[in-house]
Amino acid sequence: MYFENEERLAYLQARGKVILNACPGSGKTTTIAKKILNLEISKEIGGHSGVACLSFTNSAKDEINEAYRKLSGKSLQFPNHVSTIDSFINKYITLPFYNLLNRDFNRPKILDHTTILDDMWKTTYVKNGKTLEGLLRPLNNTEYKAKNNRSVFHLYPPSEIRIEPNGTFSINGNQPSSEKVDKTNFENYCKLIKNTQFRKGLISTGDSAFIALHLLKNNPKICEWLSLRFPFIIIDEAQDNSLMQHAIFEELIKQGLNNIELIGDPYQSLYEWRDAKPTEFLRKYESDHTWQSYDMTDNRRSPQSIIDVFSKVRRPADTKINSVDCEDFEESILVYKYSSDNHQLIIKHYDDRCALKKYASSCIVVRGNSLKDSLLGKKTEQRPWGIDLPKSIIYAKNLYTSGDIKNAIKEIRAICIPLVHSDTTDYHTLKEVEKEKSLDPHFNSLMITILDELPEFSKTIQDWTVETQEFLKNKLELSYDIDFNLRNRKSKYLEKATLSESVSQHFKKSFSAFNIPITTIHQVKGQTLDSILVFFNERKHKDNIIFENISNIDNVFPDETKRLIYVALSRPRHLLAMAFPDTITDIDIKEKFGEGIRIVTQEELI
Amino acid sequence: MHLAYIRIENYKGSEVIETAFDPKLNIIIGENGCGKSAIIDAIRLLYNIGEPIRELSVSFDDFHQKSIDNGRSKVVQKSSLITITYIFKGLSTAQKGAFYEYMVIDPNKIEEDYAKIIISYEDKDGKYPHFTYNTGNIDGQKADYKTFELFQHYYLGALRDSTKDLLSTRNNILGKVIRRFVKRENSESQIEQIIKDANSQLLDRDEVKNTRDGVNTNLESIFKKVIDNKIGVRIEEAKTEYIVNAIKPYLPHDRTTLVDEGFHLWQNSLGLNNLIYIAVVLGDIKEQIKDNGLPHFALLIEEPESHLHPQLQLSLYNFLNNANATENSQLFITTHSPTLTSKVPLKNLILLDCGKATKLDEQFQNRESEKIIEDTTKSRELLDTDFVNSMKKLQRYIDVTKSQLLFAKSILFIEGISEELLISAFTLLEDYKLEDYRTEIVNVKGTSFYPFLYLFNHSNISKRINKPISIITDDDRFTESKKTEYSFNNLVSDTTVLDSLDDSIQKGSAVSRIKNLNSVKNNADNIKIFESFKTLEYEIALHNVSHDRSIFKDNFLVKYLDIVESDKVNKIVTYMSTFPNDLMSDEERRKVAILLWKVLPAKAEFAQDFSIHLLDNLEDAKASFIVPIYILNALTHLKNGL
Repeated sequence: MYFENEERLAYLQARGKVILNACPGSGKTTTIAKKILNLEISKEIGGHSGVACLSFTNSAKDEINEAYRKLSGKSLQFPNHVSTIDSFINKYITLPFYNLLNRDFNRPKILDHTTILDDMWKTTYVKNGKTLEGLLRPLNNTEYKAKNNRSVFHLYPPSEIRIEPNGTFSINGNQPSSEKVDKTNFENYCKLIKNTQFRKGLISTGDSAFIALHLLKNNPKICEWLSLRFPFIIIDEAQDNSLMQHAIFEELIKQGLNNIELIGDPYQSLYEWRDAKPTEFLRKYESDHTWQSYDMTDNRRSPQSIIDVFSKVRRPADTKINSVDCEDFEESILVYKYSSDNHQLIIKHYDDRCALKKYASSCIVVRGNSLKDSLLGKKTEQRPWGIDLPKSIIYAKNLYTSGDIKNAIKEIRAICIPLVHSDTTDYHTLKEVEKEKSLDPHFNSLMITILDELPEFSKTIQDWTVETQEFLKNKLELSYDIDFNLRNRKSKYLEKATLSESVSQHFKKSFSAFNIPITTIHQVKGQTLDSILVFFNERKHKDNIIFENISNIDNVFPDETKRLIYVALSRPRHLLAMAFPDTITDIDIKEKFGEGIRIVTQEELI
Repeated sequence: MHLAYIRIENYKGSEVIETAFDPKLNIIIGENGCGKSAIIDAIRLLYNIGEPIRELSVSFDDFHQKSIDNGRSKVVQKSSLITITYIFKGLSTAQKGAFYEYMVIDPNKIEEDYAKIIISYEDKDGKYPHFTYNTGNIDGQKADYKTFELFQHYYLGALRDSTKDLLSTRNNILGKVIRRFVKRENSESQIEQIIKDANSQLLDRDEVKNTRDGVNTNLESIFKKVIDNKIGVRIEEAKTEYIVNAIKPYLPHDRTTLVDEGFHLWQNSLGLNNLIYIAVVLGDIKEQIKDNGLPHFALLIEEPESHLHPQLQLSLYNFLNNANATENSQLFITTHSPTLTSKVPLKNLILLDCGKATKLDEQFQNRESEKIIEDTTKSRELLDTDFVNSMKKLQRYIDVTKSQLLFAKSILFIEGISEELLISAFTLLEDYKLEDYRTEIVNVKGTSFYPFLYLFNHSNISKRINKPISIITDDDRFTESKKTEYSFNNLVSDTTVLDSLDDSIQKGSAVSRIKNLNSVKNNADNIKIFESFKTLEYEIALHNVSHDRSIFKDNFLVKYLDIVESDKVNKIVTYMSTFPNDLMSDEERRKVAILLWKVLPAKAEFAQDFSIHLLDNLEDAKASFIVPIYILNALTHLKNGL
């Protein structure tokens, strides 16, 4: 059953340009599903026009499908479309109309990995009997050189070059250093690589968005048709939209799209490294009057005590978040203090607590690999192989064992095709084969067999490597030997003992003893958990979260570090546990969280 | 929205066939086995995909087979991939939205856009041919399967029993139309009440009640104690769906009130029932379009003439043309009926020939670049407007004289009735039956051959209707020969006049028509122009004067003239006797021929009488009548295509 309150009703009835600021636990996903259902009932969609419901990640997409199914008892299907924003832009704008850019262009492929953009320029040549690496023409010409007289390529590789909404170039959003490269040369270089890339039909997701914007601007009829196909566009997690994505939807609105909804929570924006621009969401919400702003401030997930903790990151002037229908148990907040030697004790204590209370969904989250390794009782990450292949195989197998068979097959297929077609290096051709093989039941069954019969991870790295090399050769009927390039000397990357330790010890998914996953904050985003244990770092560092971050003294929109904390702390239904370094005193803690806060003492841990 | 183009590869008899379509009406013509049904079936394939029960699908037998001669032996090669491409144009904006994943924008002409779908069937050694489809312009783009429901069609096969269709309860098309109206009026309950009332009125009748009770008494004694097995009776369940399906057409005796007694449809002729069916279907389409502007409707009818007399065929055409006025429906008709074809504008005609499909009006479009000159005296190159005019003329001609030429394998164009009568008689002398070679003689009643030639002279051989064409015409040199000063009597009494006439004819120059025709031929080697020296009659006379004057009268033609004009023939014999030898020189022979020519009766009369005479005395004629060589050449050219 769906519970309607005033705020939800206001949003459900809203039409036009709608922006909804939804706090954690406000039932955003279910409300979106409810809205789609309402639109169907009122016949505002149906027949051959539907809702495009877009989100930032695949898992968010699955959640909407799930929520809709729960509400309506059926699955969300044509004419509606649920996907990530990227795939929507690719599928409905860039790919179908790419040929309008230039007739001579190849059919485009959206790249999974952008390394090809760098590799396509590399070549080898022979000088004085030695084979040397070099760049393809004309990258070494003067007009493409940096001030050090080498090609700009070496400073700013093509995979990092981006086209901004206004058509200028940047290096992942930044301008080139004027000390290192002349501006015109930089532009020459960018134009050359982008044109070559587009002509070859190799485009990254970022390029695709730029091309989509360009196509929409020059062909208003695409906007018109698309707005008929999808008279409603709902964008979930819209706080993570990039400026380019904002621009694309602005263009659609300008050319006829009447109903668009941006739904999100700027405090939960975690993707600045993928160009997320939460401030643009905030600007539309707060000061752009062409948008109707709505709120959802009822939290149906966490008790008020937990809400009060993560609310410390919010600006004091923001609307208060109210807990609704959540029972506040005793000790819903626990604070641990860790030193160099009690990590495992803390985890055990937390494990026991979760076991006792029967918290089925719990998580331990941590920032930074070194802290994570010490939580797992591990040393630094080992790199026993000289190539990426074995790690990809392990990844695929891990997907397989965790039940994500579709993606596991996709991964293993992408691994096997280049092995089978080792004589082909052309990206397009390999992708063609991959696509073709994905429809071949025999090949797919071979893929499953490989995943299933892959040498066990309980074997030592040494043995597993030898066996897997042989195993793949036999299964794929290869005429040559596969070499994972196993290192056998001690190095910066490898301690010799690793080779005789098991694969699973080093490369399995991380879990605590009670099987609580130890993971990153990004992975718990959007989830509802029974409990969470958040490890705070000790030292101040741009990637670290520390005790001081749980605050908003200056009354400003918090940076991404603080937003990470906000996301982590707002997950649990019943228990929020935080571990701080023991340099933080009990007084500091009580001052921040109040006298009643429960601090677990060292004695309790033992 | 309309289907504007189709390309069919490796389907049934055609390796590759493509054609444009008219937005409204398409009449597909051509010989048997030329692939008319393949085109209709290729369209049906698409329109069947969205149907819950498919009337048509692809089987392994449908893959095109061709025999390849590799020098020594012939190998049959079976293709393994059928591909059909459909392009739709003229979509409304709403349709462009609904067909979004089908849309393609022409990069060369941004304002042009269309919807495109490709379906293919591959023989992969599976149980069935493997079906895939692709919408829009990129590989792997697939609009949702549900969009196929926007392709709606009605199909009337060549030997379809439309009577059965009209009377069936399951697919009652009349019922469908009524149901649509009921839904729109929201009158289900009223309709249902009618049956409820009828049911209860019937139940009030003792006859019905007694029957029911009798059955129930029997049931009771079977089931004894358990009494939950009793029956009630009714005419029909009171549900709109059942009621409307029970409504059937019939033919009332009273044609004004349209009620009470009448004939059952079974008593009606099949042809008329076909018409009723078509009328109902068109009504259905019209109402559906009113309710939903998105779908495209294709109405496919094969050989509607099969049960209709010619006048009714014309009425049907007129009706279809008018009734199908809505934007989103399109008609595809195959026919062998010259009557029907002759009334149809060229833009609606698609001719299938030699594995090629040609929309006839395209032979008159975009041809300026070929720089064809029709009037060689003025050397003016033809413009688009000239082609339009030619098309109108051709249209007019076909309208009046029927359209057999489109159904023929080869065509002989001639100037008039005389040629028609004589040449068809000549063919019998040569044991050449025109119908064996499916040659059509087209009498253009004059000398305006040009409008016809544009159908067959495209410089691009892939666009040309590449049938063998012979044109027989006169070079009409020295037309003064008709003047009275050159009458038979003057010529025979004064040989100097005869000498000068012969001289003038020899020196005369051919009329410009010959040059013009050769120019319009446009280097297409399927077209050949065969001109007489002077006229057909002159040539006949010349060919039938033997070299030896002693056997002059043995000739079939001379014998014939000896009967009707023995005086004049004798005068010729007298004239010939002035020659020194029995064997005549060419010049002497020519002059005798001129005299003989002058003896021939008036043009029309001669052709009529002489052709009958020929046919009546075929054996004699074969023995001594000589057919002019240029005519034999013309006939040989027509045979060469086979």
